Amino acid sequence: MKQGALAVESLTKRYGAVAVLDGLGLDIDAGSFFALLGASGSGKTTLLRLIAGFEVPDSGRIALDGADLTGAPPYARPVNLVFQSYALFPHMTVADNIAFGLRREGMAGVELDRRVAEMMALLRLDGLAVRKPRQISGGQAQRVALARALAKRPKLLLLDEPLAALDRGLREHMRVELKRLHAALGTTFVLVTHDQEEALAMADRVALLDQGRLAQLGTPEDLYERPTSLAVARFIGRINLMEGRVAGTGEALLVEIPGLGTVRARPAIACPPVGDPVAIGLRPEKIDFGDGDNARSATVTEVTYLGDQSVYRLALGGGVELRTTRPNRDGPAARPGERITVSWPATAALIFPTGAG
Amino acid sequence: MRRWLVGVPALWLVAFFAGPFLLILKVSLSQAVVGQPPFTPLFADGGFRGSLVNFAVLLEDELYVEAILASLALAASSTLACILLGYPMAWAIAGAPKYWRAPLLALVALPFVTSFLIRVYAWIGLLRPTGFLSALLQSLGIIDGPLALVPSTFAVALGMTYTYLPFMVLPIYASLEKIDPALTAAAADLGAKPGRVFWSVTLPLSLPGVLAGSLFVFVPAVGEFVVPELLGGPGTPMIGKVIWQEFFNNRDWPLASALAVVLLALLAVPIALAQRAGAPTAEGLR
Repeated sequence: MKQGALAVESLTKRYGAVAVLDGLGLDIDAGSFFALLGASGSGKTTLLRLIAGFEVPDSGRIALDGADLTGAPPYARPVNLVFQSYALFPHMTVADNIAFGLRREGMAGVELDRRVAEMMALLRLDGLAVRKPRQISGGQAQRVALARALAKRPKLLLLDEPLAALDRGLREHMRVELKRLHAALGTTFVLVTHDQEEALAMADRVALLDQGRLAQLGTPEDLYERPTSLAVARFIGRINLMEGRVAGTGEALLVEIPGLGTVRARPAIACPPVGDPVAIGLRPEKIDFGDGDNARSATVTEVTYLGDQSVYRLALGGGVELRTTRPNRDGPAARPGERITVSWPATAALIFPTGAG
Repeated sequence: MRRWLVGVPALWLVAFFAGPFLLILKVSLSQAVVGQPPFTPLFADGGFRGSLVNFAVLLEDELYVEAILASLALAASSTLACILLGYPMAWAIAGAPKYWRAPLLALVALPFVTSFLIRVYAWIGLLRPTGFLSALLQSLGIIDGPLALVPSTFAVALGMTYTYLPFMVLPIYASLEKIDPALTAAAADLGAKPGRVFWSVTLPLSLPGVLAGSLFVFVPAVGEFVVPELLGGPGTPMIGKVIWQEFFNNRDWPLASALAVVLLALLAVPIALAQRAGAPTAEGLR
């Protein structure tokens, strides 16, 4: 059986009057690659510090494989953390950094040497054993931090914004490297990040935190394609929003939008009654050029060339603006000022109740 | 611009260190005479008249060698006492909540507000047979008769430890305060209990501060004159006191100068050692 299943139950942490975590509950499956995603102030870092044991919650419980961790000090938890700043001990060699946690377990001699060598091979650190942290590059320092945290074979590995300090090329390389490590070790990885691209690209499941609460938990596809709230839809990716009122329900939801008439949308889980105000969310890439469902005429007001794709700003009736993208397979699909017809399938239009008003 | 800025400390050193030192060196090579000035000129009758005679005298006379050794020993023990007292103080200040640190540091430096001489005299008041400490111990029944702690070598060590303690606390505090909290957190995360975190991470990373503090204490303590003069008896012939006596009591300027030169040469050794260790120690001590 896989190890490293984490259960977080109604966790609350306050600093003064501010509840940084407000009754948060979530389950992390053993052996999964889990992402805690959120803006700064969402409580993701506090949750990380609570899981690592650097903070004590005001109420609630954290359990790993059924064992309560809530009051345990950091040194007694089978959880290790890769710090954002890596936090390598500057006065120790790379090998001593990696051996540090193992020595605390009483490991020594041949066994210790073998484990350190194994970790160095796993993280491709060969030849760096006697270097000090200031003598290695940022990418190498990150791999040392990973080796040091993984050397103890924790049940769960916490990664605090692991790619934030790396430049772009290295970042993409490390994403692949982290996925490879996760697949090779089977350890539960918990990635804490503010970067949605990072979370979507690496994690099996993503928990989006918003102001100390769980906004949505699901696969990356769930969060992008089926956001459960306007806040999630806005945070993940880009989205066009149109305000209107429900005009009819049925197979497709009919929404009356001022200046655009009635458009067809995908019914929400809890279907709002006729007359309720709603917002329609439309991902940019779901808008087609040409006739189809929900066809409307539009004027291209702006084209931004990005190489692989172009971004088009479209003006529809009633002052509605849409933003869409098209891959540049045969050059730009439209020019500024051009009148075109756009359409989108009803299933691509997401519905969010906007409350009475 | 930058190149010129280096000139400021250089000028300072030439004016207030190299210049006086060369004067002392010059005097140390001449002989004492009764007159004004009380030493022979270095160049006379068209030739160099300097000699190393004074340095030979220093080596021959046990008094001087003993005074130097006693000074080194006393300075070393005061430095050690400063480390043992100063480290926990610095550690406590560095670990205190942020708004407490500045007031606590100010308290460490507060004794400087009062005249150094008055503070040393205060110690006489505390330590003499009719003083506070003696009276307290007697009233508690710990000792029978009056306790004569001053003058004594112990009182000198105590006085110097007291005097130089802030010079130990401040650099240790500075190096402790610089340690990234993530490093101690990482050590705890990797299974180190608080004691182990201190030995393996905090202490080694604060050694540069201990080294700097030790220099700040040891170097002036070796040549200290006022504290042994006031708190020490005739049994503590410290080098600073001997130099004073040679200059003003015996009016043997050349011999006193030679002593000063030897003292400086001796003090240059630990400074040079610290400098060599210094560059890598900032990060490199294990």
